[in-house]
Amino acid sequence: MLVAFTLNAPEVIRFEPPLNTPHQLFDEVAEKVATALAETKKLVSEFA
Amino acid sequence: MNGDGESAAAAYARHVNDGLARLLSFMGLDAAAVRAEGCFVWDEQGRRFLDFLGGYGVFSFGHRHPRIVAAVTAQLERMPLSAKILFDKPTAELAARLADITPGSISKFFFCNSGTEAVEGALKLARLASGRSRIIYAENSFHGKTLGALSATGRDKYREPFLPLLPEFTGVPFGDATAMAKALDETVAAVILEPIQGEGGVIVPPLGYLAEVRELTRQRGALLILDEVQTGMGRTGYNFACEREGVEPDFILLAKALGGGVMPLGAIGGTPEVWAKFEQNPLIHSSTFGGNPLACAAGIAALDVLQEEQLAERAAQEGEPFLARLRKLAADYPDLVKETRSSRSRCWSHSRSMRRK
Ligand SMILES: Cc1ncc(COP(=O)(O)O)c(C=O)c1O
Repeated sequence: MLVAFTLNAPEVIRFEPPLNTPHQLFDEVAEKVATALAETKKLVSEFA
Repeated sequence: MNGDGESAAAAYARHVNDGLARLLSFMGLDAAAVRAEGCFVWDEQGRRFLDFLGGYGVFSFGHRHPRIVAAVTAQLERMPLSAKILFDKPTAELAARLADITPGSISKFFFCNSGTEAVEGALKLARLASGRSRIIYAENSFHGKTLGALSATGRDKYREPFLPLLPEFTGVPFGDATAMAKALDETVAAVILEPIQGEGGVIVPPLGYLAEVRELTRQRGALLILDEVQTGMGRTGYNFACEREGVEPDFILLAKALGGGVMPLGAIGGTPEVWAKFEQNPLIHSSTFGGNPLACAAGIAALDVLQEEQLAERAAQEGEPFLARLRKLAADYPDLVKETRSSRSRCWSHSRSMRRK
């Protein structure tokens, strides 16, 4: 599971990986973000 | 499970803070963390979490960087806490190492255990050094939640329950040099700013703002405190974010990643000029645990890692392609994502309806 958020400004999703994060992890995270956005869009349209 | 078979979430609810327990449970994060390494955290059931929260700026070197853990373990075997009767070598070495890399003539350091303590100390030392009392801070800023730091924090939701806060603190809009010029008069001891507002939602001020504020403070005889608790230690692609504009503050505040993600450690850095009165009366501000050898050993190892692994440069390089992908996603989902902001390695998505991914 990917965890990225900020409690002090909940409308902002912060990505604060370690500075030595391996390159491929960024790809993995970008994929997860894309999936989450697609799923959220679907949910939003279902409830609209 | 705890000793009596109660889960950590239930024990938090009963004995720590029920509201916090409910918030984490609501977010689906009600498991107990048992192990961490690099970018990952594992819970009791062996589930792996990819940690892109980073402890709000603490884990710039990842969890348990082997070199930092080794340095702390070695110091633990020798002497973890100060006897307070002799000088402590790790404290001396860390101060000297920080003096080498911090901007301008900053060369004196006071060590503490957190960012908030660094802010508190700097506010006191700025009043001491200037002989003035007024403090200017930015709206939407975050400097911590103790009374002094909160008085400089421009977030109503944290301030209002505790009013009245300290007198003679004035808030101005962040990024607006004209407003700063208006507020800055000869009664002002110091201006305190984050180079980039972190907790406020990552707000990057216009290029040139910090340099203008530096100039204004010089003209009016006020001191400049830069709170780099979150932006320091390579996070923005520079060792310290103020390097982006070549600004040299009178005080620089560090914490979070300074302890290498292994120990709590904070620091106030200052120039010889702002330290002079403190040196006449060195016990006027102190801390029992601040600057303990264990935390300073972590700080020294963190600086080694920052420099030898060239993490600031790496942050700048790796951040760009990731940001480009986030920007593309924001363009694909304009109804969900309002904006994507970044300063080098730092990337943030400002969501419309989505709270968490
Ligand atoms: C810029 C800044 N200053 C100060 C603090 C307070 O630090 P701490 O929580 O270590 O007391 C924070 C914490 O998020 C921060 O972001």
